[in-house]
Amino acid sequence: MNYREDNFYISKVLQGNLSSFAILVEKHKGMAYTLALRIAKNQEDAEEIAQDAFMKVYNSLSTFKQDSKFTTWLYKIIYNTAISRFRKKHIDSYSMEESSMADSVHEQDDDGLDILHHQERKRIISMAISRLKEDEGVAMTLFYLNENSIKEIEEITGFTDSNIKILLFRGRKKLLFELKKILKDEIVDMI
Amino acid sequence: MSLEEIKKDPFIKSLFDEGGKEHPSDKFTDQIINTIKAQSKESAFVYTPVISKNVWLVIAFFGVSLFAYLLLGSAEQGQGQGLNLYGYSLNVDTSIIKGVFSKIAFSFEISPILKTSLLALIFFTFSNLIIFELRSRSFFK
Repeated sequence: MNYREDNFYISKVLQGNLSSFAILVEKHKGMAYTLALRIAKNQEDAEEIAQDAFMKVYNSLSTFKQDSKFTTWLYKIIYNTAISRFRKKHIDSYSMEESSMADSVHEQDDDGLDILHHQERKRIISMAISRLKEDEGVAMTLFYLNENSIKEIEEITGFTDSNIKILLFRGRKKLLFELKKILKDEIVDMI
Repeated sequence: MSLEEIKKDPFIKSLFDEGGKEHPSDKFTDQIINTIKAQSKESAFVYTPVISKNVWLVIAFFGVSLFAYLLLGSAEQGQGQGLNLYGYSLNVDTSIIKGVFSKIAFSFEISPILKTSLLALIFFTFSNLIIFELRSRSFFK
């Protein structure tokens, strides 16, 4: 389905058009649910969080300033709803130097993944991403999947610029480590 | 590693692109819309008191005044300054109440039967108003 700009639907919803809100939900439910899942770590909770967040969005849509980005506002509500359910974890300080280990496993994982079928690759990648810590998962998903800028991630999560960079470094390392571990286990299982 | 390098990391980017977004259940949107519909139905039946606070105060003032007047205001018909009702007497200074009623130039003579009837009517009206208010509150809960 080809969607129009968010502001078009928002104006309609504010005029009392509920089906426009349904379109808005359809348009953004994937990313909203993905973010909720990064924190909740299980589908039921993630769905509840995303639904709660959409309800909050509907109830406070009149307060939304249409000159700002709707998705940033939506993801902020998703993030806060999820975090208020699952206590916010402290971001440990992380040394940038530690990321060197992650770079060394790049090549091996790439080759290992190439020989797997698409569905299997998707399953393994999702599994590895789900093993990231909540904040790492959110930061990585927003940055790499949704291509949000650091500034936008700052707005959504409330973290500082340096914290987000730390989360991204740490997330990369962890993701590659988990990927390697899963691939090893899968190979061992095959044998 | 700089931020640009992280961003350009093709392997990590490809992992996220391939992993893609997760998908909620098929009922996801419908459930939200149904909740909103239910919510707007509820808000259409928000409880608003049948009798407002201010009206209650006015009713209470007149009720209590009339009640007091009927009980005490006609004491002068009985024995001196005391309250004399159906053979029981109570020495109460009723001058304040009489003063209030005389100020608003409200004075009339009523028989004991009428007085009893009015007291019963006031009691009946008040108790029914309270019951009605409480019932309407519990209905909207």
